[in-house]
Amino acid sequence: MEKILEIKNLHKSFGGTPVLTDINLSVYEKEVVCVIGSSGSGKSTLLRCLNLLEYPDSGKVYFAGREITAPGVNVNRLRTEIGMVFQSFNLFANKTVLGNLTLAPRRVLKMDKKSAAEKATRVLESVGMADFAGRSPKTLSGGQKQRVAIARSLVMEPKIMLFDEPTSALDPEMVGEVLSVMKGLAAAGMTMIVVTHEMGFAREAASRVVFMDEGKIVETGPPAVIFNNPRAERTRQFLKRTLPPA
Amino acid sequence: MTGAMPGKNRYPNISAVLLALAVLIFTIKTVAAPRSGISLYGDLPLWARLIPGIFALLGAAAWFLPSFGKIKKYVKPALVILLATQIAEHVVFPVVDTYLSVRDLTRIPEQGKFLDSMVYIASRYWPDFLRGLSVTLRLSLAGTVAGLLLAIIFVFFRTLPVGERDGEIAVFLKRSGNFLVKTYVNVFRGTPMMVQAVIIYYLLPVALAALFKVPQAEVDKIFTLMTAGFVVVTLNTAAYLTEVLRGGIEAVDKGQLEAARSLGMSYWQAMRLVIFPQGIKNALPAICNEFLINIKDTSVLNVIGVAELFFVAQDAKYQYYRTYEPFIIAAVIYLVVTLSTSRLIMAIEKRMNLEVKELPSSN
Repeated sequence: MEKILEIKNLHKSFGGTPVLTDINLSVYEKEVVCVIGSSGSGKSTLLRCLNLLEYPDSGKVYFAGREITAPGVNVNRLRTEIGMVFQSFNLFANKTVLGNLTLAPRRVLKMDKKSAAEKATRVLESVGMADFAGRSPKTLSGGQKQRVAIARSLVMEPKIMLFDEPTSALDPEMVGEVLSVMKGLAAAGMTMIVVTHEMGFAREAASRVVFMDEGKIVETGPPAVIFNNPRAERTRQFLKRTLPPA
Repeated sequence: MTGAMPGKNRYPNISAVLLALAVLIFTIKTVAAPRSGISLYGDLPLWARLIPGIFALLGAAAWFLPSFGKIKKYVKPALVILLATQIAEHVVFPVVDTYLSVRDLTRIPEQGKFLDSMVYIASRYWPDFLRGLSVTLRLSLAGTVAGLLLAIIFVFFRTLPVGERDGEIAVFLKRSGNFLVKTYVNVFRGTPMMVQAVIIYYLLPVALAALFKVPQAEVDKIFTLMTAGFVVVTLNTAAYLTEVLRGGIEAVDKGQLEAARSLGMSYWQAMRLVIFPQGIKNALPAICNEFLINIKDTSVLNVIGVAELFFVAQDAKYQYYRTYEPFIIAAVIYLVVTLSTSRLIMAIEKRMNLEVKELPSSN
């Protein structure tokens, strides 16, 4: 399988406090990598370094064979190929659902209004939100908002999708609808990196699980190994506290 | 009648007054008017005289109607307008007519006859007052709009973030843009508009003529009093609205910018298409308020001789040798205009909020 993302010796600190220390990770095409770990372990920062919402202090990130941390990289074009879904949805409050989906295709990819709308409608159908195209985001439930946010990223046809705790801001009963959309995406062959606290999702959908602690990757492996037979003591402690006793 | 009064009617007192007025008009119309000969309909048969009175009653009753959907929304204002015309016809006009016929207003009333002098001046000088009002409204509207456009440009520089990967030149340019706008805002917010008006009107044309090496007369032809007034109001408004807009933009959730950037939009696209529309909407009440303030504050432009409402009142003072009366007239005009404008703004804002409330969030 083709290597789509490679992180080499990545360091990042905020005002002198190290947040990420010597991160090395490769992600292959069609892989679903779930990043788990306690709050403040640097999971979200790692994700944000991958589409350069944060710039690493040192280290290199390669995406589809190009070094994206190199100077002179067209960040805006890069980001059209990397979709990102946020914890707090961040749907554009001044646009309708359809407007949220067509804004970037029209303005960034220079699609015409009609074909952007057609494409957006198709993607909305795939997440089960086509009936809400004319609605304002603030009239939607959390789960609906997140499904629209996923569709908004998908309409750009990214090569990889980054999910930053996509279900953490949702009511428990709405988590399922978002996770099922994500499982559908994974099944369709989308490469995904998912920062999550949903251990059930990680166990079921991940091809690989990364456990992070204090800015370092502690352990990486298939879900069966990480959840049932972790090597590191820190991983065992974390799972003991987060997983219900079997 | 009290039983039918809806609980959500916020002005029961106004309703009661209107109803009393309607009853009064109805009485005057059907009983008193034909005898006194005041009414236009005095020589009409009784049934014809009854029609406007019935409308007046209906107009008042409309205030008490329980809501019956869209019909009330359109019927109520229509009935109220009918009632208002009835009040004008049967109360206001007769009173004024009587007043004018009793008082001798062929020449200016003597000092101390306050009301008489006011009516005299208003009846003679109203075209000038209207012209002054027109100048006031045009200057404040054009100044607010132009100031807003300028402020939108300024606030862009004021809110430019310095990124950690920016080169030294980019950081320098961003910092200087920010500093220049900040200085501009401080200077214009920290000095009275009256002082700004004098400096801009007397100094700017001289400076322009010297700068572009053209004869002073050429510059003066373009830089008229109205232009000067417009420039003063615009620059002043831009300074205040820059800060107002900055508040509105900073209130927009940071995630909006991140989401826009993560989809590949440039900073400028994200600001223009996502952040600014929301920020301006946040700031809309304050922007409307700035217009109201400008209606009042354009009065300081009298210092350079712009013939706005206050200036006209001052003219009237010299023409009729009456000190208070012209200014009371001006005050009444200002009050009517600002109050009705603020009601209009409230109605617009309510409408915009209604859009939001149409579909309640289920989250």
